[in-house]
Parts: sequence; structure tokens; C-alpha cells
Amino acid sequence: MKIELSGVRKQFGSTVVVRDVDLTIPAGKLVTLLGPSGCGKTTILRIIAGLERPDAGTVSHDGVDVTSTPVRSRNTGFVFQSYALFPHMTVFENIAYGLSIRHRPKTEIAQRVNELLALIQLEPFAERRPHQLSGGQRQRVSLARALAIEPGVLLLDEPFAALDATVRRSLRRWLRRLHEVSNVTTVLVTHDVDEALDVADVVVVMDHGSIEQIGTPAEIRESTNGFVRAFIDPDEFAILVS
Amino acid sequence: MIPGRSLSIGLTLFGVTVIVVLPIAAIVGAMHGVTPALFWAAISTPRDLAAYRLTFGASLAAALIDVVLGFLIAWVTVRYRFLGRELLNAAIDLPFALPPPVSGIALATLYAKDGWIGALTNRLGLPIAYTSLGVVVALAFVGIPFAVRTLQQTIETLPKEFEEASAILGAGGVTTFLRVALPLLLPSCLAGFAMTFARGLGEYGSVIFIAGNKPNVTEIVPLVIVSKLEQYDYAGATSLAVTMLVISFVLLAGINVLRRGLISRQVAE
Amino acid sequence: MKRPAHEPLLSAAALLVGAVLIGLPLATILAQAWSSGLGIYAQLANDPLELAAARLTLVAAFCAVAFNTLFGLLAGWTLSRYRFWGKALLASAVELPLSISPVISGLGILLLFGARAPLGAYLEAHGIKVAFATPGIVFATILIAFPFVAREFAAALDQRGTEQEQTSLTLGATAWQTFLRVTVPSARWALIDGILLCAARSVGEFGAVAVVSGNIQGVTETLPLRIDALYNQYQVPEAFATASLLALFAAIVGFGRYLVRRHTERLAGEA
Repeated sequence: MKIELSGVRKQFGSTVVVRDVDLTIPAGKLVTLLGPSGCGKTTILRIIAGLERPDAGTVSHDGVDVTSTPVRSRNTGFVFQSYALFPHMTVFENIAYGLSIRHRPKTEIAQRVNELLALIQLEPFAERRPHQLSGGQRQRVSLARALAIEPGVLLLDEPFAALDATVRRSLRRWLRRLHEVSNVTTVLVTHDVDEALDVADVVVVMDHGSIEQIGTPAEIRESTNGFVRAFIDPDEFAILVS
Repeated sequence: MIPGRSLSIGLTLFGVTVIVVLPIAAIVGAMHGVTPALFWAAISTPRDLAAYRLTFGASLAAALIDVVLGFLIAWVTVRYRFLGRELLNAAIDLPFALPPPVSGIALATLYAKDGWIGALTNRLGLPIAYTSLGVVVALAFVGIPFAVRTLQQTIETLPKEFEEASAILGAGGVTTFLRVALPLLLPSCLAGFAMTFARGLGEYGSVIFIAGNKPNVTEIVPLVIVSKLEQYDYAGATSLAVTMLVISFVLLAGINVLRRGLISRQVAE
Repeated sequence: MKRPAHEPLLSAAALLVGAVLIGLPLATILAQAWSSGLGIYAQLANDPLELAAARLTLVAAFCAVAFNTLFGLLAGWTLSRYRFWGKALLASAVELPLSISPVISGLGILLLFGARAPLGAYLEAHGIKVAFATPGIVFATILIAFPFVAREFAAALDQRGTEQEQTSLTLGATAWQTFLRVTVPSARWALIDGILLCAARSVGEFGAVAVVSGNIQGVTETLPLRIDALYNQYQVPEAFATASLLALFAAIVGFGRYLVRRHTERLAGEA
């Protein structure tokens, strides 16, 4: 699914968080939104999902204007930074939730959930509850839950931020392979430069609610934009400020 | 390690012993002179049994009412912004802060047959003051702050992400509420219920004015205790007090076990 | 986001519940108190029994708030800053007065200090009368309002953790200095909230005091007991006028808690 934002603007109180952003996310690509905290990247993700309504501008999915479509009808997959797994449900029930909301037959739900459990390699954990899992395992369950409804776009908000470095690296390789197999349009928000450049087809660098540069990881590495250079290479930033 | 440990613990223990433990111990100690036959006779007269029924029944009904109404008030005051929200939130403290006889005479007048509400319900053939319904009304009134404050705390700390995740997965508002928010708030509902219920069992001052206090009909257990004391029947009063203490502790412990069971199934991440 | 339609509906329903459940009883108090004009307050101000009751209520409430504040500081600190065997038991004992009938608490005090109890007999032999006298009323008020300060203070400290105290200790402060200069100031809003709750409960205490006081008019009668007596003697306007004064105090407590809430919400917003 192709996502288009045009002239999107959002402010909380008197703070402008997103400043008239135009952005096209091509179908089937893995795009990262990269920038320092407070740059508006998470807000853009939430606007795509419908969790926030832009003050101005439009959002379209595959050319259809969805700006006023409610969250539940947008068919997006969202992975929260905190995972937001339902603590009172088992792993199986968490992944099945979206399908049971759609009143799919029980056998179909079971089959789909088991496929996903195999995909995230957590088959023996189906009856566990979220608090009995490690951070990395919760992350994968959260991803499976988002994928279960076969979303048009997968939105990931700092999905690896709460994990330790080794788990983080292996999970992001896994995510990249998953994307190559499934080809679901994916938007990943991160403040981690390595992560953004490592997994993405396209990187969008943001600062203060505006887009600084859009390009392939290679193009970003060779950027001539002052902010981008400083952000991806802290040493150069140190020279810049001194 | 913070210094001052033994002194702090020792002084706290001493204070709690003098103020709380000794009076309770005195009640248990006073049971010494009460023979089992006397004890049984004191707690099983038809008048006692009627009082238990009314006290437990009315407390149960009031606690249920308070959890439902308290949930509504707690939810809107935490989640929504509307005119009068702060006033409503502050007003919730009043039933707690009003002295029981103040609440008592106000409710008795309001629900009496010539009171603003009582006139209405009497016309519908449903008298409230001086019936067991009056007891329920009084208990619901004094219990509401406990239900609301307990629920508010939990609703405030319930992350919005659970409900957002549910909406993204396609659930509507009602489904999200029933399948995600409500189960997560259930332990807190139980806590609010237990607290209101416990208050109800012991409430005295706000009830006696509206209850009518007819033996065997609208007499609550605390009132029976007081009237035994007024007749210098210390053995009878003590027996009833011990019975109430034991029953309420068993009930509260049971509710607490249930609540812990619910929480341990869903320890937040 | 656009506001869904159920929000105003539910808010209106909650306001209606609040108005019927709490607003109408409050309006009843005022309507009854003022039914025969405001002169009733002047009449009450000249009534020696009313003044005696007010004095006793003030004495008992002052003692209860002072004692329970000091003890609450101690208990809150102990329960939140140390781990020890039996801590959960001690914490429940502090909260016990919340779940026991005031009548039963009163009975306990009567049995402890009554002329037939060893302690009561001993004190009476030395000329100290507790039951059916002011000391018993003070004791009952302390007992009923016991948990509030300790509870609020301990909860605030638990929430904040011990890093600030530990920092203070590493900087060379003693435990006492740390307590006075770090612990108490940092939890002052919770402390004020606890004191407000304690004051409300102390002024309004009825069941326990009714049992231990013996209801001697002008001697062991507090304002809540006075309301009871007036109402039962069919002096309804006087009863409601007295009630309206106590309701005013309750409203002040409610307003105080609103200020505390507004302040802590603002602090939370900044964090």
C-alpha cells in the first residue's frame, strides 16, 4: 500500500510538532523515519495510523483520502514502543484479537495464529502471558499481532528501543528478512542512526517537525545537508559546534 | 541502607499497639468471661439474625451500586474534559468529609415522604426513608468516595496504548471497553467494592436517621451493639462485635485473594 | 482527534449522578437550616450547650490531627523506607481503623478504659477518668482518624523511591537531617492531603465518640453528637443549622483537596 501525506500539520498546544510535511511512502518498501527525540516522527506514524488527526493536510492510502477514516477502519498494523500486549490475554489470544474482532471462523483464526507463532518462533509459548516473556519475545508477539490482520502497512514506533544491544541487532536483521518475504509496506520510527541505515530501503531524516532529507541509506551517508551530517556523525557534529 | 531503622520501627510499633491493637485486644479479652452458651445466645436471636441480613444485604447492594456509579464518575473525570468536571471531582469528597449525622439527617429528610426525592418515590409506591432501601441509600452515599478514588487511581495509570492497539486492530469503542479496558480495571473494581462493602458493614451515624431502627426490620448490627451497650449488656455487645469482626475479616480476606489472583494473571509489563 | 458522541452523554450522566447523589443532600441541609431565617446562627452562637460542643469538637480534632500527623510522619517513613519482618502486618494494623466499625472501636476503648478493666481501674484510682470523659473522646478521635496521614505519606514516598535520601546521606547528612530536609518537603503535598482527610474525619467522628462519651450534655457532647440530640428533640432547624456549619467545613476540606490535586497534576505535567 502506498501512503501519501500532503501538507500535514499538527500542533499540541502552542508547539508545532509536524510542519506542513509532504511525504510519499512507496508500496512494498521499508522506510525509516530518523531524527532526534521531539522531531515529530512518532506523531507522523500516529497520523498515518489515525491515532492523531492532523490539524491541516491530508493522508491517503493507495490514493484514497483516509484523513477522516477512524482508526479501526484503516487496516494498519502498529507496534508500540511499549509493545502494549494485552496483559490479561495469552500470547495466542493477543495474536488472535484482530481476527476475532473481524468474526473470522475459529479454525481459520487458529490456523493463522499458529502460522504466525511459527514465523516468530514462539510456538511453545502460545499459552503464556506477556509478563512471562522476555523483551525480545514480547516484541515478536507484538509484531505477529500486528501482522495477523494482514495490514496494508506496518507501522513500528521505536520497536527495539527497550531491548539490549545484541537482541536489538538480531531482531532487526530478522525484521529485514521478514520484510523481504512479506513485502508489506513498512514504516519504522527510530532515533538510532545505525538501525535506520541498516534496515531501510529509504531513510527520511527529520528535525523540528520538518523533513531534512529523503534518500537511500547510501545517499544519506554521503549527505551534504548540515543537520544530517551532524546527526549521523557525532564527531563531525562536535567539530561543527566548536 | 538508611539509618534510624530500629528506632523508627520500634516507635511505630509502639504507637500502633497503643492506639489500635490494645482496644481490639480489649474486645477479645472481654470475651474471656463469656461462656459459649452465652455467646451463642447473644449472637443468634431473631433480632440479631435480622440485623445481619439487613447489614450484609444493604452493604452488598450499596457496594454494587457504588462500583457501577463510581466507575462512571471515575472514568469521565479522568478521561474526558467537560464543564463541571472539577466541581464533580471535588464534590466526591463530600460524603467522606461530612460528619455521619449531617449526612444522616440530610438523607432522612431528602428521602422522607415529604422530601424532594421521597415525595417522588412515594407517589410511585416506593417509600425509601425508614425502610431497608433507606439503609442502602445511606450506605451508597457514604461509600461512593471510596469507589471513585480507588478507580480513578487505576484509570489514571492505565496506559492509553492498550486501547489504541485494540482500535488499530479493528475494535470499536464498546468492544475495546469490554474486552480490553474493563478486564484490566476489574481488580480495581473489586478493591473498590471490598472497601465500600467493609465501610458499609460498620457504618452507623449516617444510617440510623434514615433507617427507622425498627427491631427485626430496619435495625443494623452496629445499632444493635449500641443499644446493648445502653442497657449495660457488655457481654452481648462484645459477642456481636467479635462476630462482626470475624465475618468481615474472612470476607475481606476472600475478596483480597480473588483480587490478587486476577492481578497475578496480568502483571503489567 | 474528533470527540466521539458518547463522551458528552457519559459526562452528562456522571454530572446527573453527582447532582442527585451529593448535590441534593447538600441542598437539603442548607434549605432546612435557612428555613426560618439566618437568625438561627445568632441563636446558636448564644447557646452554651452549642458552644461547649464546639469547644470539645475543636479540642478533640486538634489533638487528633496533631498526634496523627506526627505519628503519620513516623509510620509513613518506617513503612516506606525499611524492610523488616512483619511489615505487611504492621501496615494493615495502621489501616485497620478504616475497615472496623467506629462503634466497635468505641467499644474497644470502653472495654480498655472502663472502670472494670485493669487499666481503666488503675487510671481511675489515680484520678484520671478516660471513659465517659474528654480523654476517652480524644482517644476515640485519634483512633478513627489514625490511618490517613500515614497512608498518604507512605504512598508518596513509595512512589518516589529512595535515591534522594541516599544522595543526601552520601553528602554527609544524618538520617534526621535527611528526613527533615529531603523526605518531608518532597512529600509535602501528600502530607497536606493526609492532614485534610484526617481533619475531616476528626471533626466529624460520631460512632466511636457516641459509644465512649456517655452523652452528657454540655460535658461530653461534640458537635456531631449535638446534631443527633437536637434532631431527636425535634429541634430540626437548630440541628440543620449546626449541620450546615460542619458541611461548610467539609466543603473547605473538599476545596483544599482540589487545590492539592491541581498542584500535583501540574507537577506531573511538568515531569
